[in-house]
Amino acid sequence: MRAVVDGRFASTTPDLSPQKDVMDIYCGQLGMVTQLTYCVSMNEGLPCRNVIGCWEARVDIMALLKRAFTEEELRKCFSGLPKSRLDRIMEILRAIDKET
Amino acid sequence: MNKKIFLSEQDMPREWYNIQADLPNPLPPPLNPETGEPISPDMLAPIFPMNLIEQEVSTERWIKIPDEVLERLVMYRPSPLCRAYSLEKFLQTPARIYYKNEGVSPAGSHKPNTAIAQAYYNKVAGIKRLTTETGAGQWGSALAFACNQFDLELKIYMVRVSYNQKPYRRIMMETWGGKCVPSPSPDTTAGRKFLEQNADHPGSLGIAISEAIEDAVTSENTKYSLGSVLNHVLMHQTIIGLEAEKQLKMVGDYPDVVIGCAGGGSNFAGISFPFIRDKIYGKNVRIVASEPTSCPTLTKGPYVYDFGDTAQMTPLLPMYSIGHEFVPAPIHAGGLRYHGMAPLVSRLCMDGLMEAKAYNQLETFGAGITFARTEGFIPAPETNHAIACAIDEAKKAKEEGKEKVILMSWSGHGIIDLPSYDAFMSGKLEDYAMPDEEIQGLIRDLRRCK
Repeated sequence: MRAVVDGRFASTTPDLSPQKDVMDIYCGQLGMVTQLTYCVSMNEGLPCRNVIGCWEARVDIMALLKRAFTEEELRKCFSGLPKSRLDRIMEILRAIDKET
Repeated sequence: MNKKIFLSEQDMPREWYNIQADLPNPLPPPLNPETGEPISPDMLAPIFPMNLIEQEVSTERWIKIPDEVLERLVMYRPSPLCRAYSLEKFLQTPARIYYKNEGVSPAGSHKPNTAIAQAYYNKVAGIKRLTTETGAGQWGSALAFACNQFDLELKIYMVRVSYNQKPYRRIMMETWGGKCVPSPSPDTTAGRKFLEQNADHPGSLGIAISEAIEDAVTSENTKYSLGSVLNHVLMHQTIIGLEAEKQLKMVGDYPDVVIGCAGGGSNFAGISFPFIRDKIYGKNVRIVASEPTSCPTLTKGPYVYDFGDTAQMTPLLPMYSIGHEFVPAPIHAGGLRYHGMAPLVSRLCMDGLMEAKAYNQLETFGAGITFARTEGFIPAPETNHAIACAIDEAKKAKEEGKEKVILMSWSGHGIIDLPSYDAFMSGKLEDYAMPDEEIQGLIRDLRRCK
């Protein structure tokens, strides 16, 4: 559950000071340098699907994930195989079709 | 000895090469994940014009490049093939290293090769407007340039975190007349949903894709454009390898190894597919895709959530598919659905027609700096993967005392990616044991925000 602050949902992006978030990583998906903060929260408050592969050599990312997220959240994030781009396109088209 | 090998405009290839005609094992049709049935052209018609869908499924070996496309390509093509003499000297290698410089295009990368073709085919299909998504703007800027050439409107949904932090590519897109908005945006149902949850949502490529597709489907005379993964996109890039083949012939060389960086697969396909054709028909050439260790799609499979024991007590395990031999059943059934990688490239990898190597970001930026300090040009971070691999091959040639010919695709320049180099040179990409108090702080913040 997200906390409600000032009548709206609080940011899903943790407000980390630069001192806390000192490591950068080059994100091939975005095509730019980004930080761990973004990687662990960009997916509607959940981690990016690639976060383990990207960060495992640099921090104990598994331990961090297990401590920061519930099993259900991790399951939601990592269960099943990732979708291909075409799968994703078809999924979006179906969703739009249902809404209209 | 010439540094650069130029092909005349008259000698530029007039046809794209479609590798689907020569595949030893044809690519199975993509399946609709909901029904398990093949995806029909009609299902893609809401987002792509029929002429591009026809190319997507075509098995014709050669497809004519329309004159209108050639007229635009010739603005920067044929791209030079360069001999990396200074890099060879630095490495003290007997190898001859050639790099195909795709950084000479207006957008600074190989991406306009398909952007121009896609804009043209949409134009002749009567489409007035395109939509797309972009991360830091490499694809968005290429498509903005192409749409401007064919007088098409373009709306680009740019991941908000990039929109805020990387203004230069946004400015490029706008200079060419594209309309660039941060995603999530208030312009679509998908975007509004995320903004309602968080007005400062940083965005993601997934959200931007949803917005671009929704816009295309719900707007008149509008289609969606994609810069990688799909078969026709890869085919449009084969002009890179076809030119390189001719240029190498001009100096009497043929590659022992062809190297390209592989993210979505389009640049790799561009340099390698014409040579894979030679390999299929008996030539002795190695084809190597170079990918990041952080997001391996060819050297390893994806991480999936799984229980490690029958008692289901282990909450999270990385389950890599093991190279080319192990194919998880759902991937096999769905037709090589590796996340993010073009199905054609996955197929070729599984058929043993190419190999893949993975490099971490420190190795690749190190290779990029070596290249910049020898050959002068600053490569795009993606390009650095190909350079790291080429350097490895050149070192191996030295160890073996062999005069190997190495061809690599230099997919783009890194002038707009200088913050990445800054992060590398200031040590911010280094491995680092995060102190427990920092981990605790991060966890506290994440919990507070949930």
